[in-house]
Amino acid sequence: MQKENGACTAYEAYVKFHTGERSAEQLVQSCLDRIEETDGRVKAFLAVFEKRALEKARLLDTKRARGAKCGQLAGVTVAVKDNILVKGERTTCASRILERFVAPFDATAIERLEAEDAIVIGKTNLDEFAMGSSCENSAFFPSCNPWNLACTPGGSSGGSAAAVTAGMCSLALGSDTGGSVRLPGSFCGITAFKPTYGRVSRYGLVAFGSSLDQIGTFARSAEDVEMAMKTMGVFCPRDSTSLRDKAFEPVSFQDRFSKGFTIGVPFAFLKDLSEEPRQVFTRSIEHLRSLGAQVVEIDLSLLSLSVAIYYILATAELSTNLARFDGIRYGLRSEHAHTLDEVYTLSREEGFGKEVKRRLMLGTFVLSAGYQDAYYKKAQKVRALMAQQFSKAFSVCDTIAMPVSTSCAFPFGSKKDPLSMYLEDIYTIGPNLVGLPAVSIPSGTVKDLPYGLQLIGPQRQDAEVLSVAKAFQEKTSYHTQRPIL
Amino acid sequence: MAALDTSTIDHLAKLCRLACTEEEKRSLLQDLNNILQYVETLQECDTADTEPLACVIQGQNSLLLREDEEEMSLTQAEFLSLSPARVAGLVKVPNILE
Repeated sequence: MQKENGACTAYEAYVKFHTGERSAEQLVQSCLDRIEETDGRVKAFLAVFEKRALEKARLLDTKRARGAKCGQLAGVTVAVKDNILVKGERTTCASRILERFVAPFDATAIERLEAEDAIVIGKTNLDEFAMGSSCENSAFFPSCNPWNLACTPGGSSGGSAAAVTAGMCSLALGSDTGGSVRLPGSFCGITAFKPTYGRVSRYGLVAFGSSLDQIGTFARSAEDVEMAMKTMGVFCPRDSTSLRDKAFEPVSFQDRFSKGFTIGVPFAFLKDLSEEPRQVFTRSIEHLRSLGAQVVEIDLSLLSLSVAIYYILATAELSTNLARFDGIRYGLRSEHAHTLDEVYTLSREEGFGKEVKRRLMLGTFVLSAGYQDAYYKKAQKVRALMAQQFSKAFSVCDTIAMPVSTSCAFPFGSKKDPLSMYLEDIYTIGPNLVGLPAVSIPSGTVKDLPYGLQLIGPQRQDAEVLSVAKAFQEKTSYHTQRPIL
Repeated sequence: MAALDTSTIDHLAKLCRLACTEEEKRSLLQDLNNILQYVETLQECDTADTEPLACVIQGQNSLLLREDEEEMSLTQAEFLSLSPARVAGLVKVPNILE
C-alpha cells in the first residue's frame, strides 16, 4: 500500500470511506502517523486523541459493515482549537487558568460534526483565550508555520491552521474574532472561512468578544469548507444570537452569478500595500476578471479605524467574559489565597498571561465610569458607520476582494510591541465588526511564504462567498501546494 | 485624552480583580497609554448623528429568549467535579464573614 502523505482532503476522505477504498481506521491512522512524524517540529497539537479517535473510527467501520447509513462527514478527521469544548476532554484555551479543566459538555459545532460521523483527532494550540495574531501568546508553547518553522503560523488559531497545512487532518476548527481564522489561513496557505455572525453556534466556544466571535473552518479547499458548513451552519436554540435562517446550502458560481458578477476593491485604502503583496493581489484580481468579474472601486476608508474600534470593543467584551474565571467554580484556584478576594485576584494573576492581562485592563478602562461615552459608546457609533459604509459598497458589488494581511508570516519574536501586533489585523477586523462572511484563500507567495486573498460578502451570503472561492480554485492551483516536512 | 497614571492602574486592577506586581503595573501603564494614544484617532470621526450599533445582524432581534421551561443542564456531581475544592456536596471557599 502506498504510504499516504498524511490526511487527504475532506472530500477525498469521504469518497475513500464510502467506496470502501479506505477504512475509517486507516484514514485516522494515517493522520496519527503524520502527527507522530511531524508534530514534534510543528507543535500544532496540545492533545492528540489517539485512543478516542481510533475507537470512533472502528465503530464507524462497524456501522458501515452492517449497512447502516453513514454521515456526510464519515471518514473525515477534524482538529479542534482548544477554546471549543469537547466533552470529557481538556479545554485549556492555552491558558494556565484552565490547564486542568475538563469540558462537561460538547460545543454544538462538535455535536453537529460528530452526528455526521466526523472524527475529532485532537485539540490544537492557540494564543491564550484567542488573543493574539501569532500563537506566541499560548501559555504552553508557540506553534510553527509548516512552510518555515522559524515563522509563526499566524494566530490566534495557529495550531489548527498548521495541522491542516501539514496534513495532520482534513479539516480544523478555529475561532475568528478579529481575523484569527483568516490570518493563519493566509500565513499557512490554506482555505479559511469565517461565517456570517450567528451562522455557526457559539454554544461551547469559550467567549472572547461575544458580538464578534464565530467558529471558522480550515480546509484544503472551499469545497471542503462547504462540507463542514452544511453540518454546522444551522440554527442552534442554545445560542441566542444564532441565525434563524434555513440551514447553509452551497450554491454554484455559474448559477448564482449567471447574469454578471462584480468585485469591489477598496483601492484607496490599500494604497500603502508594499510591492510584492501588491503584485500578488493584482494578479488575484486578474484571475477574478478571467472568471468574468467586473471590478469597481469602493470606499472603505473607515477600515483605517478598524484596529482602534476593535481594541476598545473586543477588550470591553472580553473583560466581561473573563470575569467568570474567578477560581471558585472551575479552573485554577491559587494555593496562596486565604481570603475570598485573594481567591479572585491571585488565581487570575497566576492563571492569566501578559497579553490577557493587558487586554483585561484596557477593556475594564473603556467601560469604567467617566470613560464609557468617550471610548465604548464612541467605538460602537463608528462601528455603525462602518456597517453603513459596507452596505453602500455592496450596493455596487457582489463580493469585496482585498488582502488578508499586509505581508506573509513573520519570524517569532519580531513583533514585540503590542500595537505592531494588533496592526496585523487591519484587513480582517471589518467583517467581524459588521458580521460579514469572509474567506481567505491561497493566492501565491510573498518572500516564498503563502499569501492569501480575502473575499467578503454581505451578511448571510456565506454560500455566495464560498462559490466565488470555489470558482477561483477551479482556475488556479495555489490551494493544492503542500509544504515538505 | 485620558492619560493613565499609577492610581488608575491600581483602580483598574482592583476592578478586574488582578493582583498585579509593581513591575507588571509599570509595564501595563506604558502599554495602555500607548494604545489609548493610538485609539484617539476615533475622536476625529464625526458620529454626531449616529446611534451606537446595538445589533450586528440586520433583521434579527438578537435578544430572543427561549420558553421558560425547566431543562437539565449539568448534574450536581458533574458540576462539583469541576470545582477546585468541595465539601459535603458544596463548593468550598474561604470564610466570607469573620
